[in-house]
Amino acid sequence: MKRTVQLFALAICVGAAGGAPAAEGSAEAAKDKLSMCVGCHGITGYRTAFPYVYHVPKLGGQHQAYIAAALQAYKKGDRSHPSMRAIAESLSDKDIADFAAYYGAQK
Amino acid sequence: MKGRLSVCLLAALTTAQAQAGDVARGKESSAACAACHGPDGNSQAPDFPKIAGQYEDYLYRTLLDYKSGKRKNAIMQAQVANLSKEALADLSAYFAGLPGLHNTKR
Repeated sequence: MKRTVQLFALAICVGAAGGAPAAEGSAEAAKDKLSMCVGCHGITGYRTAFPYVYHVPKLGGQHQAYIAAALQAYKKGDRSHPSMRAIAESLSDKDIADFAAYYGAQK
Repeated sequence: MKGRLSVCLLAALTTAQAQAGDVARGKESSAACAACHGPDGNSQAPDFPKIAGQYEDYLYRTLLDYKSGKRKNAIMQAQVANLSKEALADLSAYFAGLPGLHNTKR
């Protein structure tokens, strides 16, 4: 009986840790994938050259949910920037959640 | 010839400066923005992005895209529909100068 309870408790813990919905991103998981973002968003003063010349927006401190919504919009095609669309289309929902968690945590 | 050249230069200079917004004018007209984006541009609601400290030219480009419909958002389009490009430039200059968003090292 005790063993069953122990196993049950363990299962709940594992489930809670690994079964979190994709909407709960992990900033830690994002760190392995940042290379695709850093080239533009990690360089202070960097400017995109196409279709218009302007600064690549700062992400540090932005709302996590807003970043996730923006990436989803690029993925769906609701937002038009070609480079962002190409990048977002290659992302899974988990990737998007992870990036949102990472940049949202950069206070 | 000299007169025409001067006029051309003057026109070029003033046209270029029309894009650089006036912070004071932007502050005066920013009350409507505070409702969603917060009084200091640091919104509390995740639906509305923080705009304080964002690059001025990015903000300006975004506002122009809302105005033209290139970027679709019913709320923002309504907000900027009656604002001139100069007003958008002023607002961009104002919010860009507020403390808030920052670059990330990575």
